[in-house]
Amino acid sequence: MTGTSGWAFDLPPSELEAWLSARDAHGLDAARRAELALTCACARGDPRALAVFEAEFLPWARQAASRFGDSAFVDEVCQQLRRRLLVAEGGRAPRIGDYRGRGALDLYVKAVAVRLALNALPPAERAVQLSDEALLDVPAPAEDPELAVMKLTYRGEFKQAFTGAVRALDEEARTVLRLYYLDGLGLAEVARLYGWSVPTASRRLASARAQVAAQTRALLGAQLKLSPTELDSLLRLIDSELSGGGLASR
Amino acid sequence: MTEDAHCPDDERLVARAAQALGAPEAAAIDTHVATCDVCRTVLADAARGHDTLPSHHAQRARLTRGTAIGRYLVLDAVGSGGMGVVYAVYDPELDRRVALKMLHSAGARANERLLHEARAMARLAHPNLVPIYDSGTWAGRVYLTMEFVVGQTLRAWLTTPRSAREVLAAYAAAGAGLLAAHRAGVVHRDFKPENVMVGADGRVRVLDFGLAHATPSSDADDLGAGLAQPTGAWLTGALLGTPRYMAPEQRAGQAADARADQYSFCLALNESLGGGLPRRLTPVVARALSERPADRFETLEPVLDALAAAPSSGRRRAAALTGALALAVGGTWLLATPQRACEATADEVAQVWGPAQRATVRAAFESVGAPFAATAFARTAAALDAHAAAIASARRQLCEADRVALLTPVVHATRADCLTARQRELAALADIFASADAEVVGQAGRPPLPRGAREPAATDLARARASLLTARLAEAETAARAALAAAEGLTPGERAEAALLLGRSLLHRSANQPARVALREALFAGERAQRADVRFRAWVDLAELEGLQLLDFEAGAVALAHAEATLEGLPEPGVFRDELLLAKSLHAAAGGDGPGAVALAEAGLALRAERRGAGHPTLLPFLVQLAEAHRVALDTARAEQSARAALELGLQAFGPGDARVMRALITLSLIHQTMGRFDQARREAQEVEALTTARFGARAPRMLPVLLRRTNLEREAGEVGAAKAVFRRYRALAETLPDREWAANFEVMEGLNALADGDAATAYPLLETAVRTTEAMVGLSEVGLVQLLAPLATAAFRAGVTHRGREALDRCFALLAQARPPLSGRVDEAWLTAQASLESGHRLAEGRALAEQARGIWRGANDHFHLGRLEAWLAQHPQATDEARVSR
Repeated sequence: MTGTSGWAFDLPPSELEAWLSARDAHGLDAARRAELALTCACARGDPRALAVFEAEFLPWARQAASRFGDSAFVDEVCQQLRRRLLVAEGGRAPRIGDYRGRGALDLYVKAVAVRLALNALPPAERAVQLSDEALLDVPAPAEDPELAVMKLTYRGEFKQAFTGAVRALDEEARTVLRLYYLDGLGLAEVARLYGWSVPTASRRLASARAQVAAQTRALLGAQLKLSPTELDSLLRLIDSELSGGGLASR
Repeated sequence: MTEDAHCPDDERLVARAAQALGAPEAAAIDTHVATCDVCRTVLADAARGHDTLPSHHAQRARLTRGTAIGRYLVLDAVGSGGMGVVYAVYDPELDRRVALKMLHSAGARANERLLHEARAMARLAHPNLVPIYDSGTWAGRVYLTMEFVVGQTLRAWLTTPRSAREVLAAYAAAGAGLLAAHRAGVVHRDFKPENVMVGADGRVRVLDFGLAHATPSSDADDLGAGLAQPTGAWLTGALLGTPRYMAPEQRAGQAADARADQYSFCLALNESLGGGLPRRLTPVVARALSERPADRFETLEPVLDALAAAPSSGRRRAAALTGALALAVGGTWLLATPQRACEATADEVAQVWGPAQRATVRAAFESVGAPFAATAFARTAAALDAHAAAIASARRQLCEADRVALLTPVVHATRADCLTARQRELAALADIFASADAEVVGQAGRPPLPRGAREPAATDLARARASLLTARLAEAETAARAALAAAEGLTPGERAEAALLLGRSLLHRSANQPARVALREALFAGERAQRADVRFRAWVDLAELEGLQLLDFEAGAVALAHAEATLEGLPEPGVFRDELLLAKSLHAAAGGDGPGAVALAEAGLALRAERRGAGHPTLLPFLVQLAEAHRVALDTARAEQSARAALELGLQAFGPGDARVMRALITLSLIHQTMGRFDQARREAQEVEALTTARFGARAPRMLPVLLRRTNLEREAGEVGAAKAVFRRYRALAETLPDREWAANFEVMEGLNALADGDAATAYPLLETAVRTTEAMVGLSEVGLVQLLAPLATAAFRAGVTHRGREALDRCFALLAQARPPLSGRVDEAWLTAQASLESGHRLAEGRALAEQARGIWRGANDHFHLGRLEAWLAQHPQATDEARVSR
């Protein structure tokens, strides 16, 4: 948590008033309003506000970006972030003015950093990190040899059927699956995001998994003309794909 | 830098993660995120880093266990949806558990309407409706209480393949419920498979009437006002959910009547049948799905009539298919010569457990990489070999007997069914072991099949049994539920057994209420099927539930008496007698009756040893219990001896990684803790932790009890810093788990740690919460509560909340005074109470008397460790023995 105590910068009350009004932010709690005051002062170029931003908020950006690259990469992302948020560009006011207090400022800074980091990644690498194919590389805990062989033999077909099955899910199920497996959100976080209970989130996830398994099976069966036994092995493969990064390791 | 012009800006994504957006805007983001990997990752990051909740989110926060809502006490949150959170609550007036739905605040006028509707619902009684018992407001929000239905939603029920006949029957039942409500003037407005429960009893019930939207009887302005208020949580929730089954007029925001339900009902029905709508139903459903309400039927009745009349084409198809299969199988059978047919039965067994399966299982075990995997495999394979051989030989004999017409058809069929069931079990086990993970390998070597599985069993039942044996509780539960859901495929005996297995798997996961329901069902089903063995085990399990989990010793004792009475009806009561003695000993020890527990455990051990031979692996639980009983009886030397014997036997029989061996080690650690040999206790506890980590990984739920144990040990040893450090690990792990049971320990442990650390100001509120929570779970009269109440009293006195200190301490005295077992079994509680009294000066004379009794008990037991502690404490609290001090 970022503390708001001890922040000191110059900001005429009328400026703050106008800033809050423009962002419809009068009803927000004190912490959000303090953060809005900080962003207002930053946008005005107040050096003390900028120092607070640098000391208390940039570390969040640094932490968020460090998932995607080495320290040189992180430095580059932070530099871009300063430019983007704090500098007026092309007649546009500094972007920090976009912040409206609907969520904590540190989260906003993190969000900007994550986007900048992702955009800074080479496209191929980004695809590896984010696309459904990455689900295939979720390691199974105790893979049996039969499955390993299957996986190698039918990798191409399997991948095609699998990603097809993920795509066939409805929007919400697909997003939930990806949030959980690719983005590593916990069940509680997924539940909170959708206003569900944890058991509900768990059920939705299980149902998405089951749908993917069934759909992959159908697509593969049609494609490969496998015997029922072979198809069953494949089915277990699908299940192992999706349980690898599952509850046990979280 | 490139950026997709369509991407929402990051501020909106953060606002979405903080639930600070109106429904339409949130929905737009969700749609975008479904196709944009970058934005999804940004959103996920913001959702992860949530540390403050916006204010309107707070009303979604869960009520903690023990909170009183009207006359109800919250036990647990069981789910939540767009409109509110559902809790399991206890109704003290009627002494039963009910479901309480706390609706999100919808404003005063909407509340009024919801209450009105709830009262209308409460007047309705129909077997296909979930009855509403009561309604009211609490903190500006409306709540309803209703029957606590154990079962699954129709949506979940449909995830297992169902015949068209089953699906039609389920919808006919749900429709009957809807129609009854319509006749009483109540419209559902959100009918969907999620709002229909299929109970464990098979009965279909519709729930959540009229909660999604305003009622038509009230003015339309209200509805408009509701829609114009996009942050109203209940509305947001409703719109966030999939409006898949909504009638067109509802989508358009117009008032909806019973004909909207007709639309939703038929849409769901059509979807559930997956296009297999019987022909006679097609025109009816088409009309019900008309865009304009006026084009639909006036009531649901014609739809239900058509449902009732519809021949189930699905069933016909299924029957034809079965016929074809039978023909094919029969054909093969006829082609083979009789002799070869009998060989073929053995081959069939080999297909279930043969060289191929053996190799797969071996590879699976080896891939776990645990040091004990090789031994575990050898044991498992040998056990499966033996079973396969037994089944194959029995089948061959049966086959040959059949050839020469030795058996009556009935006897033959019974035996064949029995063998098929055992073969299914073998297949299920082979399957489990083939996909073995660390957990299964650790459990391997358990006797894999129960003796004398007499009844033919469906595959699900076999899978449930096998899963329970390999301690895969979640799978056991699922399989048992599946078996029960297909109840018509089961004999009465199997049904009883399935209910028992379900109850056991729930009990072992501490899902107490559903376990109780399932176990009672097992009792009734066992009665109907005349299965005394099932009834015996169900009573023993119920006793464990009531007595050991919920600490209601009275109820536990009653259940045990029932179990004992059931023994009379068993052909071989001796087989169960030792199990009963073990259960009785467990209960006696939990109730503080050490000597009684010792006698019972010794008798059980002797009986089992006589039946199975000394040194038999199944003696292990008896030895562990004997050690525990001695510990409760304050005879630590014998306790240590028994625990060591248990450990040795376990190591020999199962190897170090086995769960039962770890249990023996934990008992030994506890005994050493009681003896004050903390270093030894710590080494043993750490060994348990290392073994658990090796088998399940450091982040497995199974680590939690281990960490809890270690926290208590360190605190008891006076290492508060270490206790806190261990508990931080517990908390970090528990918070990642969906199962909320574990979080119930947070306040207790942190409160006790803070108190031990001298920080009464922190400890006091934590312990207050902990006591309330615990009371709600175990009831108010249990003497074990003193272990919490006495520290609470101390913390309250130290924190200056003197009146609460006095109340808590008064209750400690009262509980001790009415405790049934001798005080020697409650010496810890007595000493804790004495300390609180002597330190605070409240009821000083009684405190001194208790301290004196504790001293006498420990002296009599030659317990120099506790005696030394007591004397040291008294020396440090001279005012405690200062006669001049007057009770405040």
